[in-house]
Amino acid sequence: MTLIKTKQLNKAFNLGGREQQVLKNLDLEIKAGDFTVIMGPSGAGKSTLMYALSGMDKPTSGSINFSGTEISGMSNDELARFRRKNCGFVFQQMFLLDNMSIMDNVLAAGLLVSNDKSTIVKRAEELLTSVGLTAQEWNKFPTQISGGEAQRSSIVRALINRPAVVFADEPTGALNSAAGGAALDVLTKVNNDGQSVICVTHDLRTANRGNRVLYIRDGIIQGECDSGAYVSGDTDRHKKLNAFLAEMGW
Amino acid sequence: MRRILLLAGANIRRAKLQMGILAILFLIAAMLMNVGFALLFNFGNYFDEMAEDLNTSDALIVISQNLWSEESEAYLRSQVTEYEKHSVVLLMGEIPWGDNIVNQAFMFSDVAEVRNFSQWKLVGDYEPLSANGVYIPFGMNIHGHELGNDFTIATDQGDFTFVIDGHTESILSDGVNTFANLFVPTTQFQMLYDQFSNYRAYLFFANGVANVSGLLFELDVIAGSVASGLSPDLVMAGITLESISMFRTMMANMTAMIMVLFTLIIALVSLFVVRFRIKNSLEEDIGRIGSLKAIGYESKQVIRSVILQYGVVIFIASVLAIVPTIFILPAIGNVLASQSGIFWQPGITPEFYALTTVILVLIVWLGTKISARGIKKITPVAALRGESIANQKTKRNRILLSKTKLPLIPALAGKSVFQGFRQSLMMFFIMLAVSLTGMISLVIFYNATIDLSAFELIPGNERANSAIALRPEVDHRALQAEVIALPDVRDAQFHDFMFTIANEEFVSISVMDDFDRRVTRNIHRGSFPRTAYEVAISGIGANLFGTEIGDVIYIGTTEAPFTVSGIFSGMAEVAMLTAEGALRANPDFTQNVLFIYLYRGTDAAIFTENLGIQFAAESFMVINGDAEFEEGAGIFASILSMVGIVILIIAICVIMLILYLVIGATIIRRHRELGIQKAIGYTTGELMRQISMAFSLPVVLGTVSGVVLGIFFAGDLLNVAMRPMGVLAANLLVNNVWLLAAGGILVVLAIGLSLLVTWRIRKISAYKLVTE
Repeated sequence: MTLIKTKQLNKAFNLGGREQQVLKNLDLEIKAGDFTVIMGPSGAGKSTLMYALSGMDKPTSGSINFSGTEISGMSNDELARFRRKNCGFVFQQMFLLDNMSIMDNVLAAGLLVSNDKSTIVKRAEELLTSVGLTAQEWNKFPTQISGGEAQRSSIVRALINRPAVVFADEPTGALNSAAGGAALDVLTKVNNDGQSVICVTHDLRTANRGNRVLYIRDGIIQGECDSGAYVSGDTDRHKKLNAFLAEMGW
Repeated sequence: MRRILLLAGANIRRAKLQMGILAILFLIAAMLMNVGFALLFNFGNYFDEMAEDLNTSDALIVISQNLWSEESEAYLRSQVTEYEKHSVVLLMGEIPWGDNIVNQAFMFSDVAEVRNFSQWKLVGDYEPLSANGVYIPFGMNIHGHELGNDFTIATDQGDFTFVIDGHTESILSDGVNTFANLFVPTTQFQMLYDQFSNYRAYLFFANGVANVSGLLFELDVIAGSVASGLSPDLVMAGITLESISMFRTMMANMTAMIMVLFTLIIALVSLFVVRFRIKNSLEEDIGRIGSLKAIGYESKQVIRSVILQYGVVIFIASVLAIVPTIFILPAIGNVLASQSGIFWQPGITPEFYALTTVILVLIVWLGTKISARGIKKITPVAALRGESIANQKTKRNRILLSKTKLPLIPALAGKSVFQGFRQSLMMFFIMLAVSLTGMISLVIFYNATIDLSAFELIPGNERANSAIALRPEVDHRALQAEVIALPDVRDAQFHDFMFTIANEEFVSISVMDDFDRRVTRNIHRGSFPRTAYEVAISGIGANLFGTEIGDVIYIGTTEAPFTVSGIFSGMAEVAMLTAEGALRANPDFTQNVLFIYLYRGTDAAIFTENLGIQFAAESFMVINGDAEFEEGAGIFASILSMVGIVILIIAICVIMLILYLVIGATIIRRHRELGIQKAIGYTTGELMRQISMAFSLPVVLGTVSGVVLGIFFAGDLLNVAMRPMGVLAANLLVNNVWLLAAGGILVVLAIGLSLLVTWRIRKISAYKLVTE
């Protein structure tokens, strides 16, 4: 089932009076339940595409149909209300609120959508437990936990409202290998449970978790690879992805 | 140095709006300081210098020639080190005074007569004295007696009209709480001197007078104790330079004290704000500071650039404040002139401007020093990572979202309050201090403009609607009965003053038949005197004699003992005696002035005019008490209402500026946090509510505390301020409704402004944050 569909999607930035076209007439479909990975060289338009799809930024022209709702013409506040219900975000820098505990960070997103506090709190506890965070850590501030724990917390925040899509922007970029692997395991697990994920990355290990890899260059999707569902230790799948990326000139 | 200058310049350019607001705040503070300093130091000095320039004597003594003798002169000579004697003509009369008519004692002098002591000078524009011209005191200029106007004095001897050819300034005889000395041409003076031979008097300017009251008392004894303060043919009066100086500079000093106190509050608030602003800007710029340190800038260079950045802005604000100061001071001088009688034009006072600038720059220096301590400790790498320069204390997670009953946005606002607790506390105290100041100024304004009933009681003078001064030969009791029988009269009783000795001090004593019928109920403790053996004393009297209720003091030539029955509040008299008591103290005491109390709604002006006609033969003067009182209170009221309203307006402006500055800075500082919230779906409106609620709590609490303190303590604070003047209980009216309404307006304005300022949150972009 199509979750997101774009038509003639364009995005241009004005850089010191010079217009730079970042996305060029993109026609794209994202299916529900997919773990879609967007790859490409720096400046290719990966993040711009992801934030346009998530309603974090507005396209210059073209349409974005998100679960049957056209979001390209929405105002900033309409987009905010749309995001809170339909999108979860995982950022490279985590962007947890430093002045709140981990639990409150999760609830600050959850209570924005639902007034049923007990249900939200219960879900937050379940999610935090499921990503390996103990009750002691829930009440710590983001500066008091490790980067990996912080990223897993931000994944929980992204999931709390059962969004249609979790958007992840370089989710392992600021983490060491072990912590990055743990974060990816969480994302893979939720995807296996049916959660749609769209992830922008430079990291091959992260890309390997997706079942569909899009390669973007100069604002155009150059190609895509349907690598199938992630299975730990599947070397053929890994080789297929490597071959695709090599073909794309990565 | 060039690097530091460049850094400071770049910082100013980057935060133009914030620096502009800070500059306005400091411009107001500098202006208030300039005005306060000028009033406090320059006005008093100006008065003293003028007194010295005019070679003003220690005291002025005016004695009717009818009461003068060789013996009097010999006694006077023995009591002073030097004196100068002039002949004058005394006339009591009425003149227009703005919209009112007032009684005034006039003293005509020959313009050609040379004075060595207590000289006078012409101020402002003037003409050579014409044949019918007169030079009048400058204070009258403000009340409609301008150059070229006719000047008509209505006396019981008829009306006298002159043309005003100029205005004079003198210290002891300019009509402010003393005689008004009018200068006429020699021929005119001679004519008056011949025409009013009974009203001739000697004017003495004397130096080295130990006690004027005592001197007058002895002179009165020599004259046979017949002097009357109100009969122009039996005048024996005196005043000292010290008391005139105190009276004429009192309002200016009070205004200056209020201004300086308010300025100190503003300065303190500014210190808070500067510290907050600097701390915030350092937090915002921590990355840049890291870059600078990384490329070799020393911490002290960075700190100096911050001091320079703020120092330059505050210096410019202080310099710009000179312009409004130059315009405002003459206007204040004009308002004060009605009470001071001084043509005070301070002009440019660089010493005060410099003092103000130094104080404000020191505040900035101090604020920067306190705020920038962390810069020295932070390493370039840590700064580049964006670590805070503030000490990282373990925070407590207040208002748990999982537990709180509050809705989400108020709960997040509450978290912000606790997380920025010091800032919230700062806002609370700023709002408390400024709103309390506003409440005090509102109380002053209310009492000086809306309801003057408490204000009128402050001097402690008895207020009658009308009064009649009787000739000595008249049967006083019969006339009193006749006046009481008049249809409009509610009551009438004698009220006189007696100058005599009490516990070896020369004092002024108020004498009435029955103090319980007195309208001005200014007894503070105990009771008014009820018997011939009781005396009530003022707060000043209690200090003077070292006595309390129940103690005995000895009064008059007979040194009769009196028991203190009560302590009263007031600025004029030292003691109160019943008429019977006064006779015990001085068997020669006579009652002369009948105070008349009219039924409500009776026109005192018409009544007094008719009274004068009906009892022309029995009296030498009638007084419209209502008009006199309004005129007297009016001067104080107009000055204090102006001070009150100006401070109130400034308080509101300061609150608005501070809120703008602090909330604006907070939004800048928290743009990351707000950006994250926007990214996860918070709307601009929700964030605006969150921020404004977080500010509303300390703002509302501070304002409410200021209002509550105002309601309960504004009166007490003003009482304390007035105590040195002898006012034991000013009992100023504190209109709770007004204060609550003003507090409500402040809160609404503050919340409205915080919403307005938080509107800039809409510009914060979640996308920019995540892609930076």
